[in-house]
Amino acid sequence: MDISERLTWPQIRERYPDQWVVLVEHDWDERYLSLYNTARALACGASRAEAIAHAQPALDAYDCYGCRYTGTIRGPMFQLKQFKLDP
Amino acid sequence: MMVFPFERSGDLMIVTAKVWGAHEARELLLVLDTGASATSIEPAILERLGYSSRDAIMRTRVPTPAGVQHGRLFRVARFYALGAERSSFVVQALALDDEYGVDGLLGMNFLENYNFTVRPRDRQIHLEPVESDESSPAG
Repeated sequence: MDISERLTWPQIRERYPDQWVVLVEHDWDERYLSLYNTARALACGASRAEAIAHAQPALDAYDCYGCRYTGTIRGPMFQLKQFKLDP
Repeated sequence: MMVFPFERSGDLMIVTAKVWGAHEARELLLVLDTGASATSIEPAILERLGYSSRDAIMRTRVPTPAGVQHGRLFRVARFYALGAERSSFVVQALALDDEYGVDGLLGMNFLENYNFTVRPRDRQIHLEPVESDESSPAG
């Protein structure tokens, strides 16, 4: 896929639902270096590895990128801390 | 006092972070986890940033519902989260399934450097830096 125009995170989620999306050219917040308003989507895929594979070789030209999942984030690894009441 | 926003996904508190290798950086999505001693990152991310198993400083064992999972501790060049940057920061390379949708956990070896208040309704974390504990092996 071609690199997208600048998109906000809600726009990215809407355009690439339930996929892993490789993001580049973030407009980082000067105060909080991990926050940004928009980025460009370089590639997407069903898994993290697939999305990054689709982003190659263009990804090598970027010195910073992210690979984010646009679906619902879950945390099953934390189930040991959760409990259910006995009936 | 610093105020930092976070996202919520169900009961999870999600923060964005950054980790640097020798030549590039990676945006991360981490779960704020006060029950995790170490900040953990998906191994494939660290590998792409140039960290190899030869750079590992220690092996780890993590009990999970599916059995014991093995990880490795690495000292990354730079790490940034919640408005603060740490150099030579220790993270655990620990595999997480793609189905979770996050890149790892922001654990206590980062959070212990602050007094902090989580305000879930406001989706904000209020942080107050404190003196670092020089004796901490994981910081």
